[in-house]
Amino acid sequence: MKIKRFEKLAAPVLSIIIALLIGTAIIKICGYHPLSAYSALLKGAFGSFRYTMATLEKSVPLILCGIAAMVAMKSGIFNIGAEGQLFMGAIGYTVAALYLDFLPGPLHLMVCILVSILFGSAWAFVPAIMKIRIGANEVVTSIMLNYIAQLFTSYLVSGPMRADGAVSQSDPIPAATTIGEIVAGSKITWGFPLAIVLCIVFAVLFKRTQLGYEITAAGMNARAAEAGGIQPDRVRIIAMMISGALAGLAGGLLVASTFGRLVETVSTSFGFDGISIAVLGLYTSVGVFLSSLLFGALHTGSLYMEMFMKIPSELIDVLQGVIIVVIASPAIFQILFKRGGKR
Amino acid sequence: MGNEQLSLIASVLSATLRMSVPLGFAAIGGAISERSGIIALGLEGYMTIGAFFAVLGAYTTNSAAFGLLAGALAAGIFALIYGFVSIHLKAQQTVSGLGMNTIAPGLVAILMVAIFGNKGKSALTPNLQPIELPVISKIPFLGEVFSGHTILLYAFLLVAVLSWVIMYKTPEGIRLRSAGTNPEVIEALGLSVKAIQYRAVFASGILAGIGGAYLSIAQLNFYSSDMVSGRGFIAIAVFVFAGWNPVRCIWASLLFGFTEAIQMRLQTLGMPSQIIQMLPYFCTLLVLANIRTSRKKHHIM
Repeated sequence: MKIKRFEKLAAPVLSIIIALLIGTAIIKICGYHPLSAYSALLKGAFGSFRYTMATLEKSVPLILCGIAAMVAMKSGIFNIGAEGQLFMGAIGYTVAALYLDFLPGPLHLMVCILVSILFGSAWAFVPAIMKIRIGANEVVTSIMLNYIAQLFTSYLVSGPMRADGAVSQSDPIPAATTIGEIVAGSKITWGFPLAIVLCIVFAVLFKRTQLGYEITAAGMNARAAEAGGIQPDRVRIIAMMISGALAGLAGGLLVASTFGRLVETVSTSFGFDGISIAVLGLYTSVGVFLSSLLFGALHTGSLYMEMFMKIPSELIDVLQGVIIVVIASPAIFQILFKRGGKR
Repeated sequence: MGNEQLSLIASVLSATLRMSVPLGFAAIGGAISERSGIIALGLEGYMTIGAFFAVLGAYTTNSAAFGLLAGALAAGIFALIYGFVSIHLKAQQTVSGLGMNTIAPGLVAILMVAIFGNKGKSALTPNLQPIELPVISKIPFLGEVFSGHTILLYAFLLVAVLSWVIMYKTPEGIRLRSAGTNPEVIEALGLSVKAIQYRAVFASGILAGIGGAYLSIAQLNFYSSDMVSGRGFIAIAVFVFAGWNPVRCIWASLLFGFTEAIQMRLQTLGMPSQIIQMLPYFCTLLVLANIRTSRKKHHIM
C-alpha cells in the first residue's frame, strides 16, 4: 500500500521535475540564468508575508475550479466548461448584488453567493443533459457555452450594466456584498478559508458518503455501477451540476473579493487551469489544494520574475503546459519505471 | 439600393472571406486529425505557433513565402509532439491538447522577448500581397468582394476540395477514416494505425499553422500576442458544424467569418455585437443537438 502510494506520487513529482528541466533549457537558450530565474520565481511567490498571502489568495479560484473539474472527471464526464460557468457565476453574483440591494446585509450576501452557485450550476446542466440525452460531446458543447458566457459578460458590461466611464465594467457592488480581507492589509480574503473548507467537504464526500461513492462508481465502471443499482446518467448530471456550482462560486468570489464589480476579464483561464490542477492533484482534494498552491505560486512568482529579471512571465505557461502534458501521458511513467530497474 | 450601401455590403462580404480563411484552414486540419481518431483540441496552439514562426521566417529570410513555409512547418512539428504523446504515450488527449494550447503562447512570448525585445508586437515583415483578379476586379460589386485577396483564400478553397477528394475518394482517405472508426481493420490489413494518425496530426498542424500564418503575414505584417485569440477553438466549432467534412468546412467557416465581419460594422453603429457573435455558437449547439449518438459514436468529439 505504501509503495503504491509512493508510485502514485511519483507521477506528479516527476512531471514537475520534467517541466522544470525543460524550463531550464528554454531559459538558458534565451540567454538568461536558470537558477536566478527560479529563485526569483520562488521569491515572488513566497519571499515575503505579502507575496505569500497574494499566492494564497490567487489559489482560491484555482482550488474551486480544481475541485469542480475533479468532481466531474470522477463521474466520467469532462467539464471543460468551468470557464463559462465561472463567468455565469460572476454575472449572477453581480446581478444579485446590484439589483437586490433592498435585502438586509448578511442575507444579501448569502443570496448573492447562492445566485452565483445557481447560475454556474444551470450553465453546467446544459452540456450534461445534452450529453446524456443525445450524446452530444460535452467538450464541444462546453466550448460553445464558454464563448456564449464570455460574450454575454462582455455584452452586459459594455451595454445594459455598463457603468459611466471609459472602461467596460459594471458599477461597483455594494459594500455589504463584498468579501473582504481576513485581517486588514493582509491581502488574503475569507475566500481562502472557504476554499479550504470546501476541500475538506469534498474529501469527506468522496470518502464517506453515498453520493461520493456513486460518483466514483459511475466514473470507474458505469455498467458495473448500474448493476449495483446506481444510475450513472443521473449521477453524472448531479456531478456536473456540483462542478458548475463550484465554478460559479469561483466567479462569484472573484467579483466579491478581487474585482468588486463585473469586468470583462473575470477569469484568466481559471476554468481550464482547474482541469490541469485536478489531473496533477490525482483527483484528490489534498492534491487539488497543493496543485492550486503550486499554480498560484507560479502565477504570482512569475510577475516578480518578470519585473526584476526581465524574464517573460509566460515562462510559467510553458511549465504548466509541460506539467499537464506529461501527467496526462501515463505511459511515460511506465517507461521510466521499467527502465529505472524496479526489479 | 444606393451605391453606398452596395459598397458597404461588398466590404462586409470581402471581410467575411478574409475572416473565414484562418478558421477554414484550421478546421480542415482539425477534421482530418479527428477522422483519424486524434482529438484536435490543440488547434489554438498550432495556430499560435504558425502565426509566430511565419513572422520569424519572413523576418529572417525577408520573404513572405518562406515565412509561410516556416509557420506551417513549425506548427506541423509542434503538432507532432502532441501526436507523440497522444499516439505513443496514450495521453488523455483532452488534457494534453489543452496543455499544448498553454505551451504555445508561453513559448512564443519567450521567443518574442528574446528576438523582438517585447512580447506584444514583433517587428514588421514582408507579407503576402493581395492578388488583383484579371477580369473580375473590373466588375464593380464582384471585384470588391472577390478580388484583392491573398493567394491563401484560393489555396483554402483548393485545400478544402482536395481534402474532401482525398478523404472520400482515395484509399488513403478510407484508411484515414478507418483508423478513427475501425482501427482493428487497419491492423488486420497489416497497416499501421499509428503511421496514419501521425500523418493526420502532422497535416492538421500544417494546415492550422497556415491558418495562423494567414493572421500574421497575410492579414497583417507582424505578430501580435492577441492575434489568435480563440480562433483555434472557433475552428473546432467550424468542423463540428461541418460534420467533419472538409468541403462543408468552407460554408461553416464563411458563416463564422461573416459574424466576425459584421461584428466590426455593428460596433461602429453602436449595436451590441456580442449578441451577433454568439449566433454561430448557438448554431453549433443546435447542430450538435441533432447529431445522433449512433452515427457519430466513433468520433471522439
